[in-house]
Formats: sequence, structure tokens, C-alpha cells
Amino acid sequence: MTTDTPGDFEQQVLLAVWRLGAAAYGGSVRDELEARTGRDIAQGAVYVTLVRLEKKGLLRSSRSEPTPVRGGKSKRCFAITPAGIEGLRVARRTFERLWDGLPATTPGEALP
Amino acid sequence: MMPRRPPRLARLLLESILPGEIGEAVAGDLEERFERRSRENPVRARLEYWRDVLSPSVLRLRKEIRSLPTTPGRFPAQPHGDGPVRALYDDLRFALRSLLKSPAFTGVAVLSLALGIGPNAAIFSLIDSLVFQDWGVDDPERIVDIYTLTPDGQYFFNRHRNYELVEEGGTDVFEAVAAHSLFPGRFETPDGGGEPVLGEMVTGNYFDVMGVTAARGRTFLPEEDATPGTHPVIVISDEVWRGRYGADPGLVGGELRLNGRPYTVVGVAPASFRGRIAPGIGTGFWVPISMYPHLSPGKMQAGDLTISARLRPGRSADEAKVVVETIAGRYNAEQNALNPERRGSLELVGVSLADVRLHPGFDGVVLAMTALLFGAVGLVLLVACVNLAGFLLSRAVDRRKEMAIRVALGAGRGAIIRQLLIESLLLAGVGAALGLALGQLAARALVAVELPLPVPLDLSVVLDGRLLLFTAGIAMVAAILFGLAPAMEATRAPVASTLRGDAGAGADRKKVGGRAVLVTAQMTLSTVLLFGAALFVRSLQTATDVDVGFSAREGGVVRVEADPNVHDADQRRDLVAELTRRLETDARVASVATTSRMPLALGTVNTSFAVPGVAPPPDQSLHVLEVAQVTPAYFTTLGISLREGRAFEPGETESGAGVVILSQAAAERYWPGESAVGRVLHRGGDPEDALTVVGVADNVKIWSLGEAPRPYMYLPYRGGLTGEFQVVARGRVPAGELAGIVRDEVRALDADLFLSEVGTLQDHLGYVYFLPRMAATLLSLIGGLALILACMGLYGMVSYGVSRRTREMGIRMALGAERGAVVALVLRGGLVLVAVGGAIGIAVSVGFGAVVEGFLFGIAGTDPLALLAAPLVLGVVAALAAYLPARRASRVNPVRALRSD
Repeated sequence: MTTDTPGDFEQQVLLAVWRLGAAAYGGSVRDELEARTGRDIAQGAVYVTLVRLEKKGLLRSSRSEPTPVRGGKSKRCFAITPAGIEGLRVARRTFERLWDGLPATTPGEALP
Repeated sequence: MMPRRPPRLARLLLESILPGEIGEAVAGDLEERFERRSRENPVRARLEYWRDVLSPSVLRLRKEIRSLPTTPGRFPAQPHGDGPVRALYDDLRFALRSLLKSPAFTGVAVLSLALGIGPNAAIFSLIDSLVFQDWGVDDPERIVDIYTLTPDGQYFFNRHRNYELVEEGGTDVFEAVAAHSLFPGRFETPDGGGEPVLGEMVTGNYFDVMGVTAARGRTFLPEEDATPGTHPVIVISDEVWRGRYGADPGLVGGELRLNGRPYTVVGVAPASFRGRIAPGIGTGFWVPISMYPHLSPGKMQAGDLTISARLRPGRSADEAKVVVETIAGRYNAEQNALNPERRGSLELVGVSLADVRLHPGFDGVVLAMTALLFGAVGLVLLVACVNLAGFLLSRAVDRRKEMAIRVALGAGRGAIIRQLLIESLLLAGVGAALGLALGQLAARALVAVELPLPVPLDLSVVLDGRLLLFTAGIAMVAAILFGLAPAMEATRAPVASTLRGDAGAGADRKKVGGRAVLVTAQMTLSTVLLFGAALFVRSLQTATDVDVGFSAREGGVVRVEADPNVHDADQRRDLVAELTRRLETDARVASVATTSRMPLALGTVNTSFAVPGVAPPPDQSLHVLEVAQVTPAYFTTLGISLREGRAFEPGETESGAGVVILSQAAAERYWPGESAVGRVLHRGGDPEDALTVVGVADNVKIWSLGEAPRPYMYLPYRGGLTGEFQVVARGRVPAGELAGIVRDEVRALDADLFLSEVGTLQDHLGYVYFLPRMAATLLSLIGGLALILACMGLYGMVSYGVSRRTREMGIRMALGAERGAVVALVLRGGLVLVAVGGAIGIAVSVGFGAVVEGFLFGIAGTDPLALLAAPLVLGVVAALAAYLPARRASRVNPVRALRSD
């Protein structure tokens, strides 16, 4: 099965969902991304990507029961699909091929 | 602590942008984050929440959701299935989209409807709050109100004697008989001033007859109305209790000061009962009628009574009416037997309270006025609806192609008509909502108008269910009535030729013709309404032109109400003398006078006397005239000239002076064609109490502008018969300042005196001009609105015509037509409609004038000036409305026009 290589932000979201496992839903994915990238991310942006990834079959989702916190509203939980994991691998391999033979730089070091 | 919730507005916004389950999930996530963040920094949390909601990504997400397949169980963002609910939802969505696609059309149509519905909502709101409220009594159809019928058929108040007669003679039909009398009182404010509040003096059984029990405390006990002046107790209204006393539960049993004397508060009436003055006018308090010696000093008995009686079970109002008439007849017979020369002529009449709106005497006028106002705003609505119809018709022509495509693709005609009707219902709904808002604003503004009454009226304008129903009703009718024809029209076009694009100008012309008829109708309606406005403006003008008999320019007037328990007549006379002396020494005051009753004010005092050699009117033993007590400078200060004789002299304020001045009408009544000076009157028929006529004054309007010259009598000021007097000053400074000078002097003399009116003589005349002014203002506004709406219609039609004929204009100009000629061509089309509509309008106006003639002052219903003014205003404004779009026609670039479709 061939899929489009997920884009940059899509990869970030996929990784966050994978990492969070059963605890992955809109809010936790956003928190995870903000914590690990150090950027502010709009909730809407996270969801746009989540919905798009589900359409592409890289994620699947299910509705959880409403909880008394969060104003009694239900959650939508996301999980990565095998196709999602495959997409991430493809993307990573692409990058690795592109990095191949280049020196790993660290911050502050001048490029040749 | 309650968990914090995100900003409500932002939450609602989010819910409306993101529907369905995804929306819920996003909202939940944001809420969860908000709860966490607001523990650290609530302000920051709110800001972040707003930022998330307003982020462009939310709109992208919305798009993303909508492109999802609507398989149940996946992301259901819309109602399921294809039942009628789903169909309606689709229709509504489609209608909304289609309306939003042409925002100019939608805006104009909604605005036009709002302007039409607004005045209807305002007038309905006003009339509803004034006229169509319940009395708040138990079983109003079991209560009979009893009035005295005057010889000229007016419903009048009762004297106390009538109350006794009915109570005695009506035991068969009435369970209980109560009496009540309007009483404007003053609650003392903490700063020592007085706040005017309308109240009622009532018999002890009043609340029982009305079937009203106190919400707090109690109502009156029978003994509280037994002995005059012994029970200073008061029941206050719910409104006063909440408004003035902050719903203080401790007030019951406490005291408040009414007209300078403490009263014990025994109870608070329920909010549903607002007294018996008028349904829209709340009674602020009730006191036992036995307190009249304190509240209306100088009177032997409480007067001006309305009698209300509750029917015994099983007895009908009609039976009671007969009994009431019999009581009067029996009384008359007794009187005749006692004194055959004084024929008893008492007539009593019973009216079931369920049939009374405000007062049986003027319900007729009120309802006629109501009908007139509703008629006028109804016409405005009609103009607005015709606008809507015109717009929809043009739109239907424009959308013929769209409809043809839909028919070709298999849409049924019914479905398309339904679709178009939903569009017009949607338009009407939005228009009605906007109109309702406008109407509420207008009604509030109208109620806020200060009425020229001694006591502020408290009309409550509330947005109640009836008003909503009324507005929704007229919007529905407007939408269906004026949306159906265009909808039928749109679907009638032959599909094939329309799609080919050759259902050409011929058909268009017919449709534009339909719109022309509508515009003509608008012009007709506007002419009638403008004519109505012009009539009432003329009526006001005539009223202000009436010579009131005294000079109202540049004078200040202050009304002083002295408490007769504190200041008796002699003290008031001395007070006025001292006040006059002080004011006369003030360099800013040229002259100052005091009278017990100003002309064109409320209230009256009569005096009866014999005129030697002149027989009294039939059925009466003495002559009766209304009288005012005035100081010597009265006639010069008010600019009333003396026809004969002289004014009073300073020494003549003592009680034994024996001098009188008559109005010219009075002098002519008793001694026609002869001099009155030196003649003698016998006060009360007593030759010992002789009054010599020393002067004859010009006639002055006493009660109303329209009255015939009125016989009137002036006596030297001796403190008056009531505590009230008015001080008039004229001088070298503006009138308002003069009133201030008088007020300050009165205050300096005695800080306890209550000043109920401080203003200019012009203000004093306010109330006689009030109704004509109100009518002129209202109808001018209504007429102006109709004109604006009609011009919107005309403008729309002409500019639509121009846009359809761009190609024609191009050809004409390419062939050498002057720009002016093209403009004239377009303009002519519009102006013909104005002329035709205006002409029909004038014809209709003549009929309209006859209907409203009764409301006019001093002019005929076919006033030529008004008949001229209405079409003139219409012509000028309408010509402008037609010219603006017509000018566009001349700017057509022939080359581009010919290239266009």
C-alpha cells in the first residue's frame, strides 16, 4: 500500500499520537507537541491535521464517553494505524537518505 | 469555589462555527485546557481561549469537517436522514446562502421590512401597555362601576351622596359597594422635598370589592374608614415598595410621610394589581377615604368618586344597571316631592368593569386614536411590504435562468416555490427581529416623553409574548402574501427559451410593469400619509396661533402648594404679600402677580351669586361662575387688558373689600350692550354680601384653546380656597431665570412650601399643545418613514430598469443621443409613476381627511395647504430618488455597453 509521505506537521502529530498511545486526544496531543517543540500551537490546527490524517487512513478515532470535567463534553480519542507507522518510516528513511554523508551539526558550529 | 468556565461569548461562537461531535470534542479540549490554565492565571487563560477560538485554523477545520462523508457514526456534522426536518434544514441553508450571495438586495429588503415593522411594534407596545392591560382584579365581569351621567351625556364622577344612595338602595344586587377617588399625593424625600406619586383614596371595603388581598401585611379594616381623620394608614403598591423602599420587608408596620404627615404602612398590594386609575398607570398608594380632612382640607366630604360594586352571586350586571337607574329615579322623585321648584335631575349609569378599557367616558376617543395610529403604521407596513414584493419580483426575473436550470434538472415547481417562500420567510424573520428591536427603542422613547401632568406616569413598555406574536404574525403574512406572487412568477418561465437566453425584453418589460404598479401604489400610500402628517402639523400650527388672551412671552411661573393644615388662608395671603414685596424690589423683576388659578390649568373653583334684575338659568336658584383670586398686578403682568373700569387696588385684599372684576363674556351675559361697572352681585344670594363690579377684563382661554369666550370672575387674592397658588413674574431676564428667582424667594420665605411647577409661561401652555404636538410629531415621523420606504422602492425600480437597459442606452448613445436625453428618458418613466400615484393619493386623502377631521383643531379635513404640501414633498423627494439612478444611465460607456450581454 502506497501513501503520500506525511508533511512536516503531520509527522509531528503522528509521532505525538503514537507516543501518547491510549491517552491520545486533541488536548493531550496539543500539550505533547507544545512541550516537545516549545511552540504555541492552536487547538484548531491540531484538529485540522488529526482529521486530515484520519481521512488519509493514517489515524483512526473513536468517541469516548463524556466526562464531568471539561464541561461534560465527550472526547475523540485517536490511535495511529499501521499505515500511519509506515508513513512515518517512509518519511524518516527519506530524510536519512538526504542526510547521508553530511556531518551532523550542533548549534553554534559553523557550517563548512 | 465554582469551576471557572470559559468566556461565554467565545464558547457560543465556537459552537456555532464547529457543529457536531468534532465541535464538541474541540470545545471539550479547550475547556479542559482553560480549567487548568485559569488556575495559574485567569486573565491569560481567557485570552488564550479567545485566541484559540478566533484562530483561522478553526475555519479550516470547519471546512475539513464539512468535506467529510456524512456516513452515520463517522463525523455527523448535520442532521441525519432525509425526512422533512432534513429537507427544511437544507432549504433554510440554501435560502441563507442564496440571500448572502446578494448582500445588497438582502440588506435593503431586511431594512425596508424592519422600518415597516418597527413602527407597528412600537405602537402596539405603547397601546398594549396603556389600553390593553388587565385591571388585575378578581372577576372583572362581576364588578360594576357607577358614574353620574351629565345632561350632555358625559360620564362624570359621583358626589358622596350618590355613594350613600347606591350603598343603601343596591343591597339586592350588590354584595359590597366601594368608592375610590384619584389623589395625587407627595411622598416626602429624605432631603425634605416631595416626590409626586399618584394614589387613591378608597373606602375600607375597596380591596374586598376588587377581590385583591395584600401581598404583605393587610389591606384596610372597616373601622379605618369610619371616623374622618382618625386613621393615618396606607397600603403601598408593589412598585413603590420595590422602587422607593428597596423591597424592605421591615417597611410594613413602619411609617412614611405623605403630604407632610406620618402614615403607618399596613400592607403592600400584590404586583398584579396596579389600582383603578387606569390599567397602564400604576396607583402608588391607597389611603382610607376617611383621611380626606387631612388630604383635601376645606372639603366637607371626599368628592370626585368612582363607585365600584361587586355583584351578588346569581345577579347580573344588566340587572344591576337597571337597579342603579332606579335608585337615581327614586332620589329624583323624593327631591321633587320636597321641593317642586328644584327639579331633581340625578342620572346614574352602571358599566361592567370588563367592558371598560380606561374610562367609559373616553374609551371611544382612545380607541379611535388607537385605530388611527394603527391605520397609519399599517399603511407604512404596506409600503414596506410592497417594497419587498418589488425586490422579490426583480430578483425573480434575474433568477429565471437559475430556476429554469433547476426545473430542467428535475426539480418540481412546488419544491422551487417552497424554496423561494422560505427565502422570503427568512427575510421577513430577520426584518421582523430588527423591526422589533427598533420598535422597542421607539416605544421607550415615546414613553419617556414627559407628559404635561402634575405626576409622572409610569407606563411600562415590556417585550411580552403578545408583542412577539403580533410581530411574528405580521412578518409571516408579509412574507407569504408578498413572496408568493414573485415565486410563482419565477417558475412560470418557459424552460427551453429561458435556457436559450431568448426570453427577451418583451417578457422583462411585463415584469418591470408589475413593479411599476407596485411603485405607484407606494406613491399613493405615501401621499396619504404625508397628507395626514401635513394635516396634523397644520392643526398644531392653528392651535399655537390661537390667542389665549394673555401674553405667554417671557414670563416665569411657579406653582406653590401650601399645606392648608400649616398655612390657613390668612397666612397664605400674608405670605403672598411678603413674597410680592420682596420680588418687586428685585431689579430683575418688572412685575409680579399671584393667582389662585392660572388660565389653561387644571382644577376649578366656582362661586354662586344672585344678579339683581337678571333671572338665574332654569332649574337653578343662583348664577354660577368659575372664579380666580388675583393680586392687583395680575392683569398687567399677564398682559390682559381691561375693557372698562380698573384693576384691583392694593388695599382690596381684605375680606370686606366687596369688589369684583368680570370677564367681558360675563359682563355681556348679564348686561348685554350696557356698562357693567358699578353693578352689584349678591354672593350666595345674600344682599349683605354685595360685590361691586369695578372692571371688565378681556376674555381669556380658561380651559381649552377651542372654547367659546368664557364668562369668568376675578376676586382680590385672599389666600384662595385651596392651598395652591401660582406666582407669575415678568422681567428683564429670560423667563427660565425669572422662575428661578421666584423659586428662590419662595424657598427663602418658607422652606416647607412645596413647588410643583417651576417654569416659563410657555411651559405652562405645554399641556394644551401636548396632544396636537404629539399627533403632529408621530404622524410626521410615520409619513416621513413611508416616504423613505416609497423612495427606496422607486430608486430600486429605476436603477433596476437602468441596469436592464444598459445595452439599449449604449445603442442610443452610439447613435448620437445626448446624455441629457437618456437621463430624461429614464427619469420620465419614474416620474410618471410619481405623478399617477400622487394624483390617486390626493383623491384618497380627501376621504382620509374626512375620517380624521374630528382630531383636528381649527382646520378642515380638506385643508388646501396640506393637500398642496403632501404631493409637493413627495414630488421633490421622489424626483431625487429617481434622478440618482437615472444619472447612471448617462455614464454608460457605449462601447462597453454594446459588448456586454
